[in-house]
Amino acid sequence: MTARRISTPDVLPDAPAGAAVHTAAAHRGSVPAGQLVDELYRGHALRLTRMALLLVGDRPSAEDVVQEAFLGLFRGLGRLQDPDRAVAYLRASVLNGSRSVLRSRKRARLRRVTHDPAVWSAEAAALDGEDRRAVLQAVAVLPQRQREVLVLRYFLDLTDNEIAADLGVSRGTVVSTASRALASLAARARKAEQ
Amino acid sequence: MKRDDSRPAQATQATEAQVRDAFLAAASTISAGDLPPRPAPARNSRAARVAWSLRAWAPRARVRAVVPVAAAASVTAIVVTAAVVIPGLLNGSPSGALANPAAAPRFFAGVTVKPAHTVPVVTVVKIYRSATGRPVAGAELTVPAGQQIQSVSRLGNDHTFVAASFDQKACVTDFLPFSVDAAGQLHRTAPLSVPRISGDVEELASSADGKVLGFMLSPCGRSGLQVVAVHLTTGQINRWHNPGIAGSPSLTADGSVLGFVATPSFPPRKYLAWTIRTDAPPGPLFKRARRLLDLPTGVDRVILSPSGTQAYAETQLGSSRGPVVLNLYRTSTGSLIRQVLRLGPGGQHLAFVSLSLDKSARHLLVYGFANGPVVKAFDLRTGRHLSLPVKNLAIDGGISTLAW
Repeated sequence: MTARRISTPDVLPDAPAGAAVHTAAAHRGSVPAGQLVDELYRGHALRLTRMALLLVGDRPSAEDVVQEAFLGLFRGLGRLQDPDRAVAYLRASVLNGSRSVLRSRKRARLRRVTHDPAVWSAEAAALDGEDRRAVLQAVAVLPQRQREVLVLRYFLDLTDNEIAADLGVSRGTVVSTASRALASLAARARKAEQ
Repeated sequence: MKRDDSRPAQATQATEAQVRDAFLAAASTISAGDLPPRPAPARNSRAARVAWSLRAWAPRARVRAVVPVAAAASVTAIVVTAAVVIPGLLNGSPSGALANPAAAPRFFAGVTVKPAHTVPVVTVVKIYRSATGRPVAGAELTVPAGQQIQSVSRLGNDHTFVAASFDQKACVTDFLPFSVDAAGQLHRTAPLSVPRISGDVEELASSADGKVLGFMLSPCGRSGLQVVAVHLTTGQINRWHNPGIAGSPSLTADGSVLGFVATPSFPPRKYLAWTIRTDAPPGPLFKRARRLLDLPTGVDRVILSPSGTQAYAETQLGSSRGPVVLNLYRTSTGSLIRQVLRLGPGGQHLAFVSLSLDKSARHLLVYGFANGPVVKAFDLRTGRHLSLPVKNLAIDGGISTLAW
């Protein structure tokens, strides 16, 4: 089955119950949008920023991606077909935003524009443990889809069905993508040991 | 067939644990106190958006001279490097040799990744022995550089097949028919009456009478997907358009009905099983198709029996975290006949397999992923199955890469 870029992520699962109540209330006009987004930001911004960090590598970019996702929520709140899905909307926005950052970096490299080092780089000196750095560096060079599946699976702990909905692919694609990613990481680790 | 199959699963679990640990460590470098305040709507001006997009290009406060490896170019590749057979994945049936292996096709065709290559991926079709999973020496279908064989299907009988080879640059797919002799050797046969089609054939099925091809086609430069039936005797091509996602094509023996799974919505909600008559006039898919199965947890794969009166469907029991099972349904009513296989315990990470039914509809090849690639051959009457250690298969969720 084919994979598509996420379009209007208004039907995705995994919005916590609390957020669902508040978004529904806001949709009916009983809770100001600002208050709602405040609550969502307090409840989810850290997790989303960490997710973005694992995808883009550096904290400033990750923060930007999440800030833009929340701005997008402001803009799109009234258009959400299912307002209970605000967290899923944010998650999909972070995925799209992270892809945009990585695409921009490809262009930036051609222009010799640089940005912050990845958190797993030796230069960043943010992580303890050479093994962890090696794992994250190996994840970072995987194809984009594989990285996303690993982050959604092993950091956000989403189910394969939820990941399939987030990425707009079949469950089989999620399973095979994760399997290939893990096989690549294992092969890389074996090679490093030799 | 007894082997130490626990090691690959343990290795996968170890890799998973390492990934979790590394993710947690990296994520912990950001704490709640580090976060900026939530953005105000006032930032939502065009100027602000332009400024943000420029920041994505340019360094923020701290300019460094290093490009993180995360920015490495993405490549999509079908690369399977390990062949792992996991006993117990397909629970509920005794393992061992097939009850009557002579009744099963002696060989099957599989799309295989050339191990020496990674990017671009080079794929070939190899012929494998059904009894052992070992390739027949010298039996190989190759394509010119720039093309990639993406799927294979039995065409006509147990000895003839057709492979779909995609040329990305030209955005055309060639249909490559071939036969397999008694020794398992592969021979190219005369081109089909429709030798190629514009677009990317993603999954391929063909009828047992050898007269109809059915497949999912991704058109060049256009969104959406087409479900296509090609009548080889007349050259007639019927296309039905679908804005969403579709896959898992299968045809009745006479080629009159095409079965598939599809979701009309995008992003996808739930996959349903459908059938469409292959002589139906072209047009919107869901105006022509008939809903075959609508199960609470959706249908991941479906395969029609030769007569079209029954359908095997891969689904889940109970919930989206329930066990993955293969059930047999009556197509006239959609009623469950019986559960055929249980494909794993369920939970967060699920098994996913593709299916290939032999001409007699008695034997089933089950291949896919569950903690690694899996290939098993089943005798559907006895329930006995055989694990096949096939190496370097290009088995990918949703793509038809094995056929017998």
